[in-house]
Amino acid sequence: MGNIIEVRNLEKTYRVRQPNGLLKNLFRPDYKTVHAVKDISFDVARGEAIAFLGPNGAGKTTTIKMMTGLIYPSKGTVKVLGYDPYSRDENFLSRIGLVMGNKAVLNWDLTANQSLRLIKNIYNLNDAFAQKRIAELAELLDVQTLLNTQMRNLSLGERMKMELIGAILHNPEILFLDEPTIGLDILTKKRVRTFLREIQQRDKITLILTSHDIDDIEAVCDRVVMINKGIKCFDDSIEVLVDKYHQNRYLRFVFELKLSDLQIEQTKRWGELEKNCKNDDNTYLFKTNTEKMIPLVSYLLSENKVLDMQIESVPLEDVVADLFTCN
Amino acid sequence: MKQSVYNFFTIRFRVLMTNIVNTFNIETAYPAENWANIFSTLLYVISYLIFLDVIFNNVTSLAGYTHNDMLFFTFIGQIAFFTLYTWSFENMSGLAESIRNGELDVLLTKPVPTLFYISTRTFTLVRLVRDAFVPMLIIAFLIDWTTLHLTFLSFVIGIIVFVCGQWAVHMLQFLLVMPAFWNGKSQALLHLSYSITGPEIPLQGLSKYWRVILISVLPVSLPVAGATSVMLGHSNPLLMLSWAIALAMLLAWLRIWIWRKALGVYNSASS
Repeated sequence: MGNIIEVRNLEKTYRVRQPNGLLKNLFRPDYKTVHAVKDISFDVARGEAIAFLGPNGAGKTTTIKMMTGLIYPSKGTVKVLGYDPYSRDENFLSRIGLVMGNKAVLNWDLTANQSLRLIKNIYNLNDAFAQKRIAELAELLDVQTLLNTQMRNLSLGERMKMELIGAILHNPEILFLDEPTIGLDILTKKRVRTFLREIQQRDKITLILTSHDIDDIEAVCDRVVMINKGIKCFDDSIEVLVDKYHQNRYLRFVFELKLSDLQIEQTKRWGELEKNCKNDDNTYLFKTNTEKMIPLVSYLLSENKVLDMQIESVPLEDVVADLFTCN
Repeated sequence: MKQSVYNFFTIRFRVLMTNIVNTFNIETAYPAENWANIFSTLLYVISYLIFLDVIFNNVTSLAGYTHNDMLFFTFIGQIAFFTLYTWSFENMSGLAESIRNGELDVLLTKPVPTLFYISTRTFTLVRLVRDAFVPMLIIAFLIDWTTLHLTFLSFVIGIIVFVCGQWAVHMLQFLLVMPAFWNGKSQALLHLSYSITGPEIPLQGLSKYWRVILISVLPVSLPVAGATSVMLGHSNPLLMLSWAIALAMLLAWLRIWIWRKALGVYNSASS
């Protein structure tokens, strides 16, 4: 199976007007060039579930918008299902779906069923197929009893579930999701993640997801593309991401007495003392790796009486936060 | 991929029917809301009819139009107003808002001809019938249809001029929304178009200078004044028809050209 998405040297720059005096703004405004995406390349195979991760303003959503043809790239090429997305060919658009966490497709004043009927007509779907699919997807998301409720009377989580049904009613080959779980409660997030995983595996839909929620990524995606300041700084599986930092460890100690400055200085050979640890009750948190963990522990045990000790792997969030500071 | 002519029209027909049904569902979602506008439109029409009555109690004709001709003019004017307001203004207002808040994103990813879809997304037939029916009935009742200088040919040509004129005014509103792609907002510009749509003045009442301006550069008088002058035999029908069709074709091309330019600079509201 070939690649379903091919991105080469993709760039997007914006000219942003700078605030100035009223007269200057009217006649000779100043502009600043913002490089939202700089020279990004990657491929996506059919059936993959990929997460785009990065801090706010990194360029994740801009990249997705270029892949869906919403905005034109400044440089580079994008091929999705063999099409140039910005040609907005109807055959291309009928094979993709887009869910944006904070933008609604379904009409606020109508029931979900009425809005889904509109979508059915837009995609020119067979009545029987659409009915069956709505029933199926509603059952997966546990919203069967809410299909005839006005959208404005549904909770945020319920509306989001209906939006998801709307986005995949036509059984797209690729589903783009931009922050799909934003603002949702924990249970609804879990439900949505399970749903996405299920349809991805069952219907072989390729998922492209952006999120700030690490749990979304861990639950739904197999591969992570990390973008920061418009540059791709990581592109591999989640396992590699974690393994890369797998060797790192957090060691939490509670000593009988405070460590002296000299002792703290000595520990620098094997690890870093985290600045945000509590020292008032003699708790110390060190960041080290598997190689230096044993000498650090040996030293500290020999220097001070230890009341408690914990060894933790570095959470994925911290791994990602570290990578955000790359470049 | 090139479309056949059949597919071209089939897709648009399907989109139009879908939008009509969808708008109907929205309009009937809140039944009590439907009745509020009736009184304001009725009040406006009645006060205008009284105004005409006062004028024609003092003059026998205005720029060659009798009282009966002016009632007919008002009848056409109301058709133009209601159709433009319930179709063009609603949709262009919706487009301006969609550009501003980024909802255009979800519209641009649908496999329908986007320009056609957004131009017909709202088709408030319920409001059209509800608000227009009584005022139109009153005006139609007041017109002495037997004394109007209407011929079948002038009427048909007048209808075509009317349609082309409505298209021209719609284009004006469309153009006034386009700055939103560059600036992010153009609701005020759109409201300006609503204010200047069609001065209620017969074409022959305008100076030559204004006549040319108001059926060409700013074609707001074309659908009502232009069409009525043709129907009632005050203008050369073939000249007006040729001009209306040429203008409509030029505007159709301009619409597509400017839409492509606008999409090229579309930044999409941030997520």
